[in-house]
Amino acid sequence: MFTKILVANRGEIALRVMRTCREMGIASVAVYSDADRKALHTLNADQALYLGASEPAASYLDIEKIIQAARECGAQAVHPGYGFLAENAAFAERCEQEGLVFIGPPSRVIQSLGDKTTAREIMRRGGVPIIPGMIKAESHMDILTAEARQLGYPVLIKAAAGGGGKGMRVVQSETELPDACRQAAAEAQAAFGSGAIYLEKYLKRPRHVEFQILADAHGNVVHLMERECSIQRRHQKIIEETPSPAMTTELRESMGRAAVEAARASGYINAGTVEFLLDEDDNYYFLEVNTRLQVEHPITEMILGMDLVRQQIRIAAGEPLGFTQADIVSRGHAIECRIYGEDPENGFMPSPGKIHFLKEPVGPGIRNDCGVYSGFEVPVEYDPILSKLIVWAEDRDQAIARMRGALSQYIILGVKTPIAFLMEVLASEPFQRGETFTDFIATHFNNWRQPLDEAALAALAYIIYEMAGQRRKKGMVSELAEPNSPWLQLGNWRL
Amino acid sequence: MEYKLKIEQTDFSVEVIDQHDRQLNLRLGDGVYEVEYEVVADHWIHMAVNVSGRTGLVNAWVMDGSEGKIIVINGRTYTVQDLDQLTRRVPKGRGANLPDQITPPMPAVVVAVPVAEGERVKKGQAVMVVSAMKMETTLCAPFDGVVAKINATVNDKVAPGQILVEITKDTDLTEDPAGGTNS
Amino acid sequence: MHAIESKIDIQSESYQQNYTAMEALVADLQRELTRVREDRSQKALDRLVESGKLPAQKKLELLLDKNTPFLEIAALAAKDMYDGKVHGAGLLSGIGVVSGKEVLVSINDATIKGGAAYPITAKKTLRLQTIAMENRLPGVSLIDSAGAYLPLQSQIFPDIDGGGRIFYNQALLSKMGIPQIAAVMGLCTAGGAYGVAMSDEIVHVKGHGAIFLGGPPLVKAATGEEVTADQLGGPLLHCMESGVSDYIAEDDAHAISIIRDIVANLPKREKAHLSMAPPKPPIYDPKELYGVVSRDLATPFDIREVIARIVDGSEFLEFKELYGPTLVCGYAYIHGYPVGILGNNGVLFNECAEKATQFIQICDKRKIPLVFLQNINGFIIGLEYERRGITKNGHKMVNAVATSTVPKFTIIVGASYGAGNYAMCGRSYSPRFLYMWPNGKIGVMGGAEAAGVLISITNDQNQRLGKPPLTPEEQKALRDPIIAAADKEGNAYYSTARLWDDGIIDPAKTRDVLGLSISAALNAPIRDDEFGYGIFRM
Repeated sequence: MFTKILVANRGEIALRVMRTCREMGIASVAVYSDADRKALHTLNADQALYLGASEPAASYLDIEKIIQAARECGAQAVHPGYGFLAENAAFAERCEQEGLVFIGPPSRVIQSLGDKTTAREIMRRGGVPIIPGMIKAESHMDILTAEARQLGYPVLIKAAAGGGGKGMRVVQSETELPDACRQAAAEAQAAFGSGAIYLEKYLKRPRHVEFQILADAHGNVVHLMERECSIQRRHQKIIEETPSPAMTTELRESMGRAAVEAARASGYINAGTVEFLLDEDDNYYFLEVNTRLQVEHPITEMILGMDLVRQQIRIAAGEPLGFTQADIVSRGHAIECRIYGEDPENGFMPSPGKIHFLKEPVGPGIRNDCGVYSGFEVPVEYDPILSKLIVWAEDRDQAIARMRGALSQYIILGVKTPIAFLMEVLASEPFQRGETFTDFIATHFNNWRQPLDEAALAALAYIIYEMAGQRRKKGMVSELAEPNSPWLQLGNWRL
Repeated sequence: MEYKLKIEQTDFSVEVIDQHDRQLNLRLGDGVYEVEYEVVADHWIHMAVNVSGRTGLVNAWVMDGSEGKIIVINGRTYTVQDLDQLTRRVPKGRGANLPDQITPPMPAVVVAVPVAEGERVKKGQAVMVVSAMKMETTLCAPFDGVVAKINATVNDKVAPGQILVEITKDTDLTEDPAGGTNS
Repeated sequence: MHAIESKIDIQSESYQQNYTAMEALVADLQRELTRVREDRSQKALDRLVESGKLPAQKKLELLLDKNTPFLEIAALAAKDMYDGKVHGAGLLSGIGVVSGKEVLVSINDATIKGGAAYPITAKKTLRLQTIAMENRLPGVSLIDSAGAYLPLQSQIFPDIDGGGRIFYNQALLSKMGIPQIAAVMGLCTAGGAYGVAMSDEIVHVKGHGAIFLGGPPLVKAATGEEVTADQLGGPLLHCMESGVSDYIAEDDAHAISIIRDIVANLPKREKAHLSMAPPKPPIYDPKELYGVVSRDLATPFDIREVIARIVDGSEFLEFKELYGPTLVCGYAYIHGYPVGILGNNGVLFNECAEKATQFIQICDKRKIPLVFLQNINGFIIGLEYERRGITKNGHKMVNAVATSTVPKFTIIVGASYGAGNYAMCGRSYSPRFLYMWPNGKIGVMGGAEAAGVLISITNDQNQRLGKPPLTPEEQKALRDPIIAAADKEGNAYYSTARLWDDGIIDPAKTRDVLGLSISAALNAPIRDDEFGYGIFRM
């Protein structure tokens, strides 16, 4: 087993990985940029190494700097977390060259699954159902038009090299197609350095259902059941749960088998996620494989009682899984809400800033994977995720109730968060009925505005805070000499 | 003491009727709120609110932000601003107090009259230029209107208080059905 | 320093009775303060609304930094004088925080007799100016005054403490570099015009603000000229032509916002520096003062019990505890400010006067402000004390009180009789601020003593003339009116109506009143020199 692991990431996921390392008696090494000198992952590691300037290219995306750091501290393995270099085949390859164990699949697997058209081809040959669409990326407009006609509108344009919604466009009719292709290609070029695009059949009201898989280096592959991640804004997941409300035992068996097949077909090793779209008739289509630990992995951990990071490390160290599909038993229901620094009333735009006050929810079945603290300045340079709030309960209704309670106890002052929004989504009828489709937010919560039920109470709180709260030392001019001056202390005092 | 507060886009007027140690009576709209409160910690207030016979316990978290106070209650975040402090910051526009009469600032000589009687002028448009102490001063129309009378011509000596151009304000005119067609 | 150990039994019957009595007095006081704020004729209120002016209280609210204290001065001036309706002498005044600075505020209340100036209004204004001078406080006046109340003009016009003195003082204040900002929010005629014009900067409100030496009626009578108030003294005239006014405002609220800007822009002044301690409340509830103070002034109470409920942490370092014990002297902190306290525990004896003299010298040398807690019947009399030179000893104390230059503050917590009033820094000794508790009494001596003296003198006279001594009935006839007069004229309200003090205060608020007053006083530098002598051991 390793004795030291470098965590090539930041924020909550770096902390998450480091926590397991500590439990396993493995020293963890953090890396950090200028903006993260006082970040929680920097402060909590056994060792912290400085990478460089705040912009990702000069720090968390700089492969050579990270390799250098790993060599310097004598780590045997590197955990890439999610995002940044987690799905970068070149990075995995450099690690392999340096004799560092990359905690994730081999670089060639990342390479082949990272290219979506290649991945689709692998899946098609392995007998995994794929969304009707093009096998190869294409730039010629005539061919794209013909393909679209054959698929039937609406069609979806996707970037061959990317994810996260970048370069994606839904096209309703042929007249829109040329412009949409051009925009998508430009966006893909900007985001991934490659403008390659392809077309897919656009599915109406699908669910996003993904299967967690684990594969060891000895040919054992299991799936760890599904996660439903249909609630998305800006093509990014915001609420995830498991089991999926749409799941039946037969469907799970069928999809699970497909996921395992997908892993086998690609020669997968370590933890990965096979994403599917599931339509209203229980047809499912392969979407892509995420060759890393998912953001939403904790809900799987909650229902299985399993530490996925520990499994990743064990597999990377060459250990066999030690259990079979039959050993996988789940219990209860888990939900995750992602708490970003973002403004739900303004298109979920990022809202970085200083966190003046933070009170995390606590209680049975509540887990908060948090990367920030009171006084921390959320950097503008990175994804503004503050924490992931996860609850577990015996069934879905109880889990929803528990999550609503946890959200209402979660106090973050200083940056905008979607907490009030999430509470309403959870309280909504369609969500409670499990009618969770990828268009959920667009359908039910378009242009959402926070209700003002507590406005009168807020007014009272304002006045009380003015009268009795912390005395402002700034603003009230220093000419009153001492901050203890009775003029500052007595409030609205009268004879 | 009265607070005029703005919460999101709504204005609230709150009157502090009575205050004692950890106790406040406030009038907000039609309701009288009796509040007992405790400042639990920095940022944290606990309130027992009694309004029209109903009592409830509320936790509120408060922060002084750049645009007012940020207040979280029941998971919802409210930005509350004090309108008195907001208006205090808004400066009144300059020029609002300009005189309505066109008269030179000091004894001077008229050097140009760029308008004629009956001509329509816009606010701020030059209507006369005078010269004194080697400086030219342009006198401008104080409002939109029509030049009713011009009381001086080029080379006239004029003095402060003397009305040089009389302009009939637009609002003083009865509505002109042809108005605007010349534009 | 150690906390005073209270010996009061708050369960005792006498405590309870005292408490109830004082509670009633404080309730009266609150009722009077409310009346001063709210008792207005409907006509006056209607006229105010019509004119588009703001009520004086609203002006004050807008002017002050929100949620800061206001130390009102002479709120009950003119109480029961004239027709009993000239509340606060028509002037809302006090010390508050404007744009972060301590400022002396004075606001005419046009809903009281149209803001007319009565003789007591002039006296109050002069008192405010004295406060401004002694404490170097910038002044803000929001003026809307009909001018002198003509039927009483003779009492307000010519004397050294008449209306003219106000303008004289304004010139001096200006020379001393104490800013005076005025807003013209109504007609300012004749004296009112000077009151404005003598200010450093003037904000003039459109619509109802006007300044002139003679108003339209006088102009018409004198010269036949017919002009409106706005033509004769409006903001356009004064801001553009005469240059009398400096800023033009759309309305009262705008004028106040301009004033706040002007005050914000005033240069910063270093306040006098004292060695502060972190403030902490007394360990005993100040409300217990209600039960501590005897409901009957003839019954003595331990002034240490009062000190324990005024000073920070109830901590007190007593000076010369065993010498001249009827005057308690010692060091404490109030809202973090160091103070030397002198409080009466009975008649002043020779030793008390000497102890006080020494203590005052020490505090003066060390720049420790002095707080006098008056509950005094006077100096001791009698052969033994005259032989030991009580007059000489009293002279030392009076001299020390008068000539010490640290800020002094006086609270009358009970009786204030005779030379004791002087020696304990009464009004004539220019404490920076002097407040009374509602149970306070002032006089040359108590009514009963005065009657006794008079009866004794009359009997002596009768004896010389061979007449029989006064019968009990005759004595009563002589005694009762004297006691009644003493009761009336020695009453706290009688005092405060005539500006003998700066206000009657709720005993429970004494610590806050003192804290605010000390802070205000520190705007004036405390003289810093090495002249004079060392401290004399008495």
